Amino acid sequence: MEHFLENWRPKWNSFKESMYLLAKNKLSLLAFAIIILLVAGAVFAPVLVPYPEDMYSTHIENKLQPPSSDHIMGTDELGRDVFSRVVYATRVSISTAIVAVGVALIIGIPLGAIAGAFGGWIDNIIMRITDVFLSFPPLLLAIALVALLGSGLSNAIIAIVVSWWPWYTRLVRGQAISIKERKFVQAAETIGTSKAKIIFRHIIPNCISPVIVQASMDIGGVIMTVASLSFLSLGAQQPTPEWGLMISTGRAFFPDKWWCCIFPGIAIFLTVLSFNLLGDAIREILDPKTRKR
Amino acid sequence: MAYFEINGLVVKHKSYEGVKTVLDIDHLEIQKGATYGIVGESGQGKTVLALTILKLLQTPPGIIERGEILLDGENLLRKSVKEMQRSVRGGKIAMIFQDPMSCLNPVFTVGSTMIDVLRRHNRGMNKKTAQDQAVHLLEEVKLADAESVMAKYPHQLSGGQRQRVIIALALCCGAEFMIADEPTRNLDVTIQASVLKLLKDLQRRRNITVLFIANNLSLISAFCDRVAILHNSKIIEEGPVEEVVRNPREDYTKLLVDSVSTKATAQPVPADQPVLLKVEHLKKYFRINDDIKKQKNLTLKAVDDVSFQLHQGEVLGIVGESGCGKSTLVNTILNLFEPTDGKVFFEGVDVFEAGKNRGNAFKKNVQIVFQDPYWSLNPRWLIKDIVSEPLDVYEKLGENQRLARVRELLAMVGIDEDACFKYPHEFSGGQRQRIAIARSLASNPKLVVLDEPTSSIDVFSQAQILELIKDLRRRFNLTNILISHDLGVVHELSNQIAVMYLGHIVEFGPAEEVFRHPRHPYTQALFDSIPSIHAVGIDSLKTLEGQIPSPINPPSGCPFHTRCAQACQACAQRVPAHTQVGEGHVVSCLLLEDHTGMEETT
Repeated sequence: MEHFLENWRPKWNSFKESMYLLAKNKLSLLAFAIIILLVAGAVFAPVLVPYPEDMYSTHIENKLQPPSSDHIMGTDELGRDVFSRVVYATRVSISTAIVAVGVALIIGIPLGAIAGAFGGWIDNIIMRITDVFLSFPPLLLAIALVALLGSGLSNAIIAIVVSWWPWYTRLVRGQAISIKERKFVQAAETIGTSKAKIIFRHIIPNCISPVIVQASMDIGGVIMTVASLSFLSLGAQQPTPEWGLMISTGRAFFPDKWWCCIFPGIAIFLTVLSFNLLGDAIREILDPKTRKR
Repeated sequence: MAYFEINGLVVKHKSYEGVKTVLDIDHLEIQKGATYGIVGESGQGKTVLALTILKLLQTPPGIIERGEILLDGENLLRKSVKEMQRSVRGGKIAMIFQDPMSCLNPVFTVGSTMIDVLRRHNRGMNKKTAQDQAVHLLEEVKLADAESVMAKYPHQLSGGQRQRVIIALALCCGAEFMIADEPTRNLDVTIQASVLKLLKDLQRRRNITVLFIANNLSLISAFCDRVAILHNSKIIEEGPVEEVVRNPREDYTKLLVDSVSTKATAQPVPADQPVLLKVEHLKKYFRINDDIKKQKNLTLKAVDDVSFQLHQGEVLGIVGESGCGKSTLVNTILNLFEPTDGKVFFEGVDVFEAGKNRGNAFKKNVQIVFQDPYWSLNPRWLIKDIVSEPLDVYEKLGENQRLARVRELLAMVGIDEDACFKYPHEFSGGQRQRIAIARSLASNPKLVVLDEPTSSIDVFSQAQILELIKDLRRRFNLTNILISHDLGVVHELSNQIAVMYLGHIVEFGPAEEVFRHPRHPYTQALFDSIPSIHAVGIDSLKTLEGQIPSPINPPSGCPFHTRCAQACQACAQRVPAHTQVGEGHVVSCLLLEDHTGMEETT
């Protein structure tokens, strides 16, 4: 193995190599395509969907129509086009997920790096706090928080951030402890570089790879959590198009009027699956040690 | 027909860069009972060869394109993995891997591992017989107290012991062909010598054929009859060891021979220079708790009462086995560790006192170059930022001035200036080491510590790096502390030598003198256990028996008396004083104390 190890050097893999690795795994390529499609759908939703006005207006006379050429996914209990709403809901889900994960990263990474780099009592305080948060199942904690703060999308995001950041803190701390032992950090110490610079310029950039992998996988999980909260009517409120909420209201007519539930369900399934596969693909690219042979 | 033969073997490796040939061997043959050495640097395909022979090569990304590997007339490449498993691996060919740390499963005791292997290869062997045989094998590899070793887990053994267990495992199934892939890498020279002797002894006794892979010609010349030089995945030279060493044909071989030959002259000690660094009774103890044995507050004496002084322009080489406290000593001097006791003066200023208020002045003047240039440069930074890191701390320069200074520094170490906007991974090991040296010079230091500066780079670059270090020293009147296990490098660069054992400096003196007349028994043993390229044959190696005692519970009296061949009773009772045996040559040994004592009386 020595030969292969010799060729592996700590670096950002080149773009070419990343593409090679991505192309090697057909499934991740597919996931990548689906995500591009989803993001494009979210961005261009107003021009793509046949009935953009259905986000807010209702056509009660046209309710619960089965899929047809006019409404390819049928209509819901207020006569709104399910397809249009499913596509619009992509906007809500993806943006909520990105904001929630982003804020969790901004809180979690520096705390983890500080805990790992300093050790001792600072580490102890930070990690015991994260332990408190980690001792609750994330969904349960999020539900409790939304119940406390009141339902709504922005409160759901806050709840998700609160229950998610400790995972990143713990991940980064572990990385930081090993990076701290690397010679370039010791070199920086002998040079006399300040602790802040060591943490933010030496340690954090080098422990970011597994965090990126984790975060891209978590986006799937967060979309799921948002949907769950909305399903429990703790997240998005009517008339916002949201997958969980759509399933929740469509549930009353299931299984006779199956299209109200099934299509948002498929959308959740595909999105979460794609983000998980993308996470795997990113791991393969960023972290050669876990590469399947 | 030869016992083992390789014909027209081509192995390739597929990656995003395309398909690359990693091994291309026209012909290689080994006679029964021979010891055959393969030398090459890392990345030249040595390990790939070993893995291919055993059919352990991962395919893909590896591709065995063509060729045959014949063992006793049977083509191994034709065999299925199952056949290999059943009849070849272990049974006919045994492998000794290079890292004894990672190839023993940490959750099994040595005994259960061995019994498992024995029973798998000899169906129907009962547990009792297997156990007896395992003990017998452990005795054969000269492990003292084999019964108790059986019950131990790998982490409870020392590196040398682990390697002996691995060798015993390789012997388990009576294989007649053994592949030893750098079996002594990561072992100390003294242990290396005894492992090599053991291997040679077993090989003679059992008439085993050995394929010995190494990255260093002097090991091969001590161990093997014939040698092949592997370079750029091809065998470029092949022949009896003596002949290859004496008359290398290829330039590359000459370089390899050169890299392990001592280039004699140590540097002279410059006269009348002011004292730059003065270390007085420095101690660094670590407090540790042994949770398993429920012992609290044990003291690990990593550095115990070390004193020396270093004049401007001198190079101090520190040598000793791993765990002797070399690195701790340097780190404590560099103020990275809090000292337990003692003082360090830099230009007459007490460093630890000054550290509290103006520590940066000291840090500016003292820099370090680390062993591994792969990890000593931040892989996410541009070269210009790496080199200017000290500048950012000590001189606030504008972007243009900063860049100009970086260019100047890079030019000093012979790196092209367009390197500024590249990342470390775009450079070879030797170039990276140059960049690390450039960084260490950025703050105009007076003392530069070199921690194994050449041990992880290829031989082509080693000589150049040594030249560079010498050149820079002349130009800037630098003082160096050099830590190295490679006595050739120490010999070439240093003009003072400190030999450390268990946290003590046992011998300190001018390099030339210490190399010519080592006085302390430990220094003598250390020097004798190093294989020399010009002394062919295993008998040229002398071994130092026994293990390094634990620094938590060091021996009483002279720390070395437990392994010293010349130890007497007094050694266990009295700590030897520093005895002056020559101009600036100090040794701590009772034998010499008495000796000089006698000289005084007569």
